[in-house]
Amino acid sequence: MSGQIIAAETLTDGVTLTCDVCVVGSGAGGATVAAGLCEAGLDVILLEEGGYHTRRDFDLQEQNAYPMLYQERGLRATDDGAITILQGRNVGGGTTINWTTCYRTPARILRHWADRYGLEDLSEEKLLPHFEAMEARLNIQEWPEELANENNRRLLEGCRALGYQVHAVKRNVRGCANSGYCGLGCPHDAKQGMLLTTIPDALGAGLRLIHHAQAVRLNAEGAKITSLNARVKRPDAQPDAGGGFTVKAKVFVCSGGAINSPALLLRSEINPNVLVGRNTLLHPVVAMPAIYEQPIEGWSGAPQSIASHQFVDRGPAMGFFMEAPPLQPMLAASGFYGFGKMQIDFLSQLRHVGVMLAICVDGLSESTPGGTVTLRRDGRIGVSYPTTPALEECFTFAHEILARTTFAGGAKRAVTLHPSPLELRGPQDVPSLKERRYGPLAHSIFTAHQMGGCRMSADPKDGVVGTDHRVRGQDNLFVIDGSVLPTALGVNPSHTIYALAHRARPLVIDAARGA
Amino acid sequence: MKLSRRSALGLGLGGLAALSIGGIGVSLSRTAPRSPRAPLQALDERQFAVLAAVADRIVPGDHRFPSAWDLWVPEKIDANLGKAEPGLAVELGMGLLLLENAVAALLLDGRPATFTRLDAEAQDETLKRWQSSSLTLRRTIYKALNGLCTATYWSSPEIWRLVGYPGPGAHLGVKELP
Ligand SMILES: Cc1cc2nc3c(=O)[nH]c(=O)nc-3n(C[C@H](O)[C@H](O)[C@H](O)COP(=O)(O)OP(=O)(O)OC[C@H]3O[C@@H](n4cnc5c(N)ncnc54)[C@H](O)[C@@H]3O)c2cc1C
Ligand code: SF4
Repeated sequence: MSGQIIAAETLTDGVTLTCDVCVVGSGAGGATVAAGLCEAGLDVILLEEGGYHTRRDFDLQEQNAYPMLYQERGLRATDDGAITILQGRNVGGGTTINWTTCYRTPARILRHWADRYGLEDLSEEKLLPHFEAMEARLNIQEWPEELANENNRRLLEGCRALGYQVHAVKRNVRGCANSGYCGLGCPHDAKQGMLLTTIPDALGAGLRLIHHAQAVRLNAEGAKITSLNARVKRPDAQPDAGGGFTVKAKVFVCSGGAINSPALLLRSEINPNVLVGRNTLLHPVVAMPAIYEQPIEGWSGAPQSIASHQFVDRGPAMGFFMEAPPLQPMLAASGFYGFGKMQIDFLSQLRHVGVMLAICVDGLSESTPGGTVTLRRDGRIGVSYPTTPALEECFTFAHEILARTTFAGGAKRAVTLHPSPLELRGPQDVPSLKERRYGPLAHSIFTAHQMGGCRMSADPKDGVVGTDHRVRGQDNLFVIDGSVLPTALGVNPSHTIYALAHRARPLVIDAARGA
Repeated sequence: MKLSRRSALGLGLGGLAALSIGGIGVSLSRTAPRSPRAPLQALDERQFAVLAAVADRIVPGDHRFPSAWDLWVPEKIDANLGKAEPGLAVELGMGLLLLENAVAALLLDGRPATFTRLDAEAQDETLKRWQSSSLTLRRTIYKALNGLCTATYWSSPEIWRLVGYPGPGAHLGVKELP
C-alpha cells in the first residue's frame, strides 16, 4: 500500500480525519516510530508543521535555507536572546539539516539515568539491538580521519599536540560527496536523514504525511485523548493565514522535539507532575574563531568529523566536548557580537578562518538544571535558560581549552565572541581570558541539541513520561523524541533518539491494537 | 530589579510600549526618515528608519565591502519578519522605538538622544552602551538587532566573492552520485 504526501492547505477547511495513530512531528523520533507503525499495518497520519522539501529545493543558500528549514525561520532564541536556538522544522526535522554525527548513548549516562531516574530498561544491553537496527538502516559508519576537512583537522592536530583524547566520528551518510552543506539540506541525497529513510519506509507502507500542519491542541476526555486540532502553517504566507482540521485517532504520539513537544502539552493543559517544559537542556555551545596561515575553507568538506571527549566528564563540574562547525559565511558571521570594522576585518579573511566548539553538558547535576519552556501571552513558545555559577565556570574553562587547542592546531590569532572581542596572539595570551565575564549576554552562545522538557522517569511521581514513553495520567498519549531525555548526553543526540524511537515502536503498536 | 526580556517584552509588554512610545511627542517628528525600497511587510516606516540606521552601523561597509544599506539588509529583515510569527516583529519594533526614543535616553542615560539623528560616532557609542548595559533588556535588543543585521548581511550572495567563498554551485544540479 503506498501512502500520500499532502500539503495541509489543500485539505478542506474544518475536515475531520481519522486513523489508528496520529504522530506529531516527522524528525528523528516521529519518523522512526511512524515507519514501524505503518510496517505493522497500522493506519498512521504524520503531521509536520514544516514543509516537504527535497534535494530539488536545496539551493544551499543560507538566506533561503534557514527560513525554509529551521524553527521560526532561523530566528529562534531564548527569551533573553542570549542563546541562538538552531532547530529543524521540515519533513525530517533536525535530521534534514543536522551535521550527521552519530553516537550511541554513553554508558555513564545510561548508568546515571538508572541510578537517578530508575531507567534500568534503558541499559546498554537492552538498547543494543535498537542502536544496531538504526545503524543498519541509516548506514551509520565511521567517517575516515583522512577525509576530515581542514577545520576538523585543526581540532585533530590541536588535541594530538596537547595529548587530549580525540577521535573520528560516525556519520549517517551513504555516498557522501564531502560537500560541506549538511546544515542547508544535502544536495547529493547522501545524508541518511528521515527524509530518505524512515519516511519513504512509512510512505511505502501507507503513511499519510501532512505537511504545513501544526498540531495546536490535544483534546482530552479524562485519561483519553480523543482528538487533535491542527492549523495550516504555510511558510510563504502570514503565519495566521487561516485554515485548520481535526484528527481523531486511537493513539497520539507527540514527537515535535524538545521545546515544541512540551509546548503542545502545555497548550493542551496536560502537565503531569507539573514538570512539562522543565529541565529543558540545550548542550549550550561556546565557540572560538581563529585565523590560520593556510586556507581552511571551512565551508567545504563534511562539517563535523572529529571530536574530543577529553573534558566531557569533569566530575562534579560541568563537562564539555569539542567539535567543529561548518563555515558558510552566515553561520561563521552569526557569532560575532561586536559590530563595525572589526567584523569586516575578521570575516574578510573567511577562507583562513577556523572555528572550534565546546558543547557543554547540562542536566547531569542540580547545578546545571537547564531551562524552562513556557507559553507566551501571544501564543508563541518561550524558553528561559537561567545562568548558574557552574555554567559560567564551564564557559570560562572551555574558553581556555578552546584557545589552547586552537593555538596547538596552528592558529596565528584567535578571538572571543564577546561584544568587544578579546584578541589572542598565541598561547601566552590565554591567561588574559580570565579578564572577561562568561555567561548569557556576555558572549555568543548557541544550541543545536535541544533535549528534555518531558523527561522520562520510572517513578510515577517524577517525570512526564514513564519508561514506556506514555504520558503520566494519559492512556493513549506518548512522547517519543528528544524531549524525554532526562539529562543531556555529552554526545550528539540524534542516534539516541533514533534508538529510543525504534524501541518504542512495539509499545505504541500494542497500545493501538489494544485500544 | 533587572529587566529581563520576559518581564519587559512578555508580561511587561505594556511597560515597554509605554517606554518606547512615551517620548513620542519628542521623538516621533524627529526620526530621520529612510525610505524603504520595497513595500514594508512587518515594520512601520519609523521602525524601518531606525533599523536602517542600526544596520549601517553594524555593517557600515568600507572601500571593499558594500554597506548593509547597499545590500538591502533592512528590507530583507522586514520581509523575513513579515513571514515570522507576528509577535516577533512587534517586539523588535518596540525595541527599535526604544533605541530611538529621546525621552527614554534622557531618563536612562541622562541625555536626550534620537538615534537616527546622531552622527555615526555617537550612534556607535550608543550601541556600545547597549551591548554592555546593566539593563538586560538593552543587551537583549542589541543582540537581536546585531544578530539580524549580521546574519542578513553575510548571507547575501554579493559578499561571497569578496570573502573568497565560491558558493555552492559545484554541488547543485547533480543528478547521480559517482
Ligand atoms: C544545525 C543542526 C546540526 C545538528 N547536528 C547534529 C549532529 O551532527 N548529530 C546529532 O546527533 N544531532 C545533531 N543535531 C540535533 C539533532 O538533529 C536533533 O537532536 C534531532 O533531530 C532531534 O530529534 P527529535 O525527534 O527530538 O526532533 P526533530 O528532529 O527536531 O523533529 C521534530 C519535528 O516536529 C515538528 N513539529 C514540532 N512541533 C510541531 C507541531 N506542533 N505540529 C507539527 N509538527 C511539529 C518540527 O517541525 C520538526 O520537524 C543538529 C541539529 C541542528 C539544528
Ligand atoms: S557533506 Fe555534503 S554530500 Fe555529505 S552528507 Fe553533508 S551535505 Fe550531503
